[in-house]
Amino acid sequence: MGLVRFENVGLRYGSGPEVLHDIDLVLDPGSYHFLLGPSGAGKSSLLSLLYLARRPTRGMVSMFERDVTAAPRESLPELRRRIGVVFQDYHLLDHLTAFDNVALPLQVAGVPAQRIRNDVMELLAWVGLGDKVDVAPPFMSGGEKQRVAVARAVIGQPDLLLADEPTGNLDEAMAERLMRLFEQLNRMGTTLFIATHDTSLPRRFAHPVLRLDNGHLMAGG
Amino acid sequence: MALWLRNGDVPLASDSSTRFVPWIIGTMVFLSALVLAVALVLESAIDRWQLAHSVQLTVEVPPSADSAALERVLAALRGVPGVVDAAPVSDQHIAQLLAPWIGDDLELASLPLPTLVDVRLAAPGALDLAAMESLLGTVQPGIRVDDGRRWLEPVRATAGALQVVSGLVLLLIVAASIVTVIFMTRTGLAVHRDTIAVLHQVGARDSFVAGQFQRHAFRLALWGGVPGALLAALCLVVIGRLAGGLDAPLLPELALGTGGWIAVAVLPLIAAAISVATARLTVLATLAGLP
Ligand SMILES: Nc1ncnc2c1ncn2[C@@H]1O[C@H](COP(=O)(O)OP(=O)(O)OP(=O)(O)O)[C@@H](O)[C@H]1O
Ligand SMILES: [Mg+2]
Repeated sequence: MGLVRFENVGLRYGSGPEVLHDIDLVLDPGSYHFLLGPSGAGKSSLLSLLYLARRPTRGMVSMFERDVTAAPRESLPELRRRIGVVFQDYHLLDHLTAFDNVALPLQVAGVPAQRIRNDVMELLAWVGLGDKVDVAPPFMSGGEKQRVAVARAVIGQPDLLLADEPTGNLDEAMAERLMRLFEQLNRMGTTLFIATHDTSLPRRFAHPVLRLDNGHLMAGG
Repeated sequence: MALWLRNGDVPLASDSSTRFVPWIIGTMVFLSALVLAVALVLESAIDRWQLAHSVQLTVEVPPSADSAALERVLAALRGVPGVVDAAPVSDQHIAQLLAPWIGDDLELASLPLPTLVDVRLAAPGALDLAAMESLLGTVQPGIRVDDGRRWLEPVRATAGALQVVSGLVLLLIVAASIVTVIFMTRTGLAVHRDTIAVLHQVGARDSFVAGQFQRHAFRLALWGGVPGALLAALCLVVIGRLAGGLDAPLLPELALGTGGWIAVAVLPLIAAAISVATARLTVLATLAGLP
């Protein structure tokens, strides 16, 4: 059936040129794909359709078996809670501590404070930030911020995990650790879709590759 | 202060652009308290004027009438249906009334003053005034019936107009406050666009985002509204004290009743409620335009 289904999708920003053309894409539950493509190819744009920040300018997008192309706005938060996103530039809230940043998805979903506390502390310890719980992002290194971003993306146990260049700011060891976390989540049933221009990732982790070039999507190894 | 202005998930409390808002709301609450006080004082004055004069009227018998003529007038008056009692106002009482203007070493009999007759009615409007005036005219020409309307109507019309103006001023104050909150909220939405995008991304509903703005608007409104109301209360107390010393029987009593004080105390809450509702509607309307 497909957790995600794109049919003939096109996207343009405002009245600018179309940056994605005729995208057909199906992501099955539990699948794991890499999205490769040069800078400016449209990787981040495609992801923004997947995490429901934008709607396509043409074509049809369905997520979790729901046509979201013209779904009412009020129906989107429920779907977004099933999607975790690690952004290329993290999108952390600078005025909140690491703890509050990671707690955010649970907080907006109305999870009880005690459970938030336990889950967030456990996860922060797991990503090696147990001692940075009360530190705000402006006082963190790039790698630390990235780990906060990853923690926030997975805290809600999403069905679909999207990552935009997740290893960009990490050293070898940390990148390795993060990719192993993704493997583990995937084995537990999470669907993964990871955009990168690091061509070494698909070589080390054997998952199908999609290529984006100039707004055109094609399968490719 | 730190707790009072604690940041929420949208860091609105640290926006320097909203520091002016408590001042505006405070001024608005201060002005509405004064305007409201004026309207309430007028309201109770109009009530009292109506009560005082609706069952009472004065008949002026010209100075040319002798005491026999006066007795005939009194007898005629007591025979009019609806009249409970008719009695001449004593010279002593008239002297008292005139003393502030003329002095008290006054020889009343030497003045060509009309004799005043107090008439009490069974009920307001229990009498056909025109009929009574023409009846009395046949008994003694030159009689005037003064039911108070002659001077009360213009005073009441003026007071009523003042009340309408007070109402308009209040409406303007409310409108200006709403515009201020709309402006503040729109600015906040623009400044914190990225933060709001993150909240939406992690699954926040528009009402969650609106809640952040509502809390902020509530705090700012009280932060300005409470001092504004306190200052207005102080002014009203001072004016009340000063007016208490005046000896002006025709002026309405310049004191606010219990209801008035409660209204002044509730004004900051009303301002807060208006601010919260405005912030919520502004946020929801603005966010509805997003994808
Ligand atoms: N908000 C935007 N408004 C207008 N144009 C945009 C916007 N975001 C991206 N674009 C344009 O869309 C095209 C694709 O950009 P996108 O960010 O999706 O590429 P990318 O593959 O993620 O690149 P990179 O690897 O550098 O992150 C580019 O031409 C870019 O200029
Ligand atoms: Mg990108």
